[in-house]
Amino acid sequence: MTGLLLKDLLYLKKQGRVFLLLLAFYIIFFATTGSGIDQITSLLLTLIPMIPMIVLTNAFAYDELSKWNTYALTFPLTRGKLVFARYLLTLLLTCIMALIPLFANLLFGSLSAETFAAIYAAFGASLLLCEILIPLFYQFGTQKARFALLVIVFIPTLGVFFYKQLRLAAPSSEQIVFLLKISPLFLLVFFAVSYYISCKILENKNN
Amino acid sequence: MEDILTVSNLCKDYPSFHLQNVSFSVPGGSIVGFVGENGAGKTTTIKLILNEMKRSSGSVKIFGLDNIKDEQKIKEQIGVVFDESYFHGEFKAGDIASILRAVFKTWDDELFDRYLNQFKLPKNKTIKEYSKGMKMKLSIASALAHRPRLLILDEATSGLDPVVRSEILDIFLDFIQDESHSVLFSSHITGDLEKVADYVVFIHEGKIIFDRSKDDLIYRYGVLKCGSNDFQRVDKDDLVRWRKTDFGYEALVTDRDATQRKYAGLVVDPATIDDIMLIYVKGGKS
Repeated sequence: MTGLLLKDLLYLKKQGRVFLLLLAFYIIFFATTGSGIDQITSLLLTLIPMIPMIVLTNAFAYDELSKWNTYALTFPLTRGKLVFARYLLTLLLTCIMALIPLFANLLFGSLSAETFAAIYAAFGASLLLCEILIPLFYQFGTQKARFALLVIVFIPTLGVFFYKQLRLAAPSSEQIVFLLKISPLFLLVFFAVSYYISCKILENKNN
Repeated sequence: MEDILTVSNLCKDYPSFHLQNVSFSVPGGSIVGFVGENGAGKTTTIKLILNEMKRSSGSVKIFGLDNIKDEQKIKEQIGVVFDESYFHGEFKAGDIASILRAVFKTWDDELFDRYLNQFKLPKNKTIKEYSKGMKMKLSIASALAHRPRLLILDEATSGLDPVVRSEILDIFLDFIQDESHSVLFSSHITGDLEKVADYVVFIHEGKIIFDRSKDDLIYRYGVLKCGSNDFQRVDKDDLVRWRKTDFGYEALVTDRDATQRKYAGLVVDPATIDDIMLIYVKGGKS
């Protein structure tokens, strides 16, 4: 499985310069326009789910292009490990992307409970989106699943819209704390379900 | 010689295609050519051997082990080359070594480097800069560098020029010098098989038509060629199959010399694997 993860990281290394340049550009842009750490954090928060999703999509697209899975199935690895490597990549990328604003805020001494909660929420959202995407990529391939991605990204917007339309009361801080506390368990269960579905899809491919 | 691979009554049912009771074996120290027209069932059989798809019934034993129960153990000792390179175009040969070193316990960097030098594969170029022949050589080097005992090749020489094909065939011949090594070589370039194969397994419409030693086919089989009048005189029990051509009839016989003796005035040419395949596929028994 290390080999599979290494393959994705090697690919990422080749593509990584673009992401680093993009990140550097935004940070320099915000810094030179007199924006504070809060603005930079906001930017970094949006990148937490965005970068892993882009990398994941590209990794699947490249695998499809080179028919990597057909080759990888000749390795002394189970299908489960083949699938697990992709989840590991997602976790690794999301952690790295979440650590950047965390360290930036620690460096500037501006890490408040709200900022930490926001970083954690973006981290959770990233994992959740990737866990939805991975089975879709296995089932439909990247071309078709990209349309599903548009729908998935639209769902939270729709949620917020209806939330406002229904004029529901904002959740209390106790409710938010409770949601944050149970979220790791929710993410874990969601991961297990997503992983199981992905394994089943791969198992039934070509059968 | 002990069999490295034994396929027994392998079946796979698709709505429009059925692989039916495919059985053959690959003895140690041999190259087995697996021939058949496109869509005959070669790749399906290979994918079933590799457990890349579920079989309907039958069994596959590799090194005496079950290909499903002992899949990981078996795959440590198998090298597979498909008809195209499945490596990402952005990678270099060194990247492939880094990945496969982590995949195979027996990966040998020195051996991989030796193959790269032998095949004149540049390490500083990305795979997308390689020619088709170079990509195929890289796939073969990667398949051999973890010191497998069984090499499975699915149309690995298709689309390559004769010089590259000849180099690759030499590698296979060298590989089987060790009696514990074998090659299963699927191809529709029958000339390659005539050069290197010890046995030929012919599959047609999902069924194994024959599994014979190559020498048997080349030295014993023949093609009887005659006009319509002469053909009426030939006992049809002496013929395997026949087909009508613009010039008369071509019929496949299993004993060239005996046929020549019996029908002294008729032409009986040696049969190539191409001839055998063609008469089986295009010909009939009536």
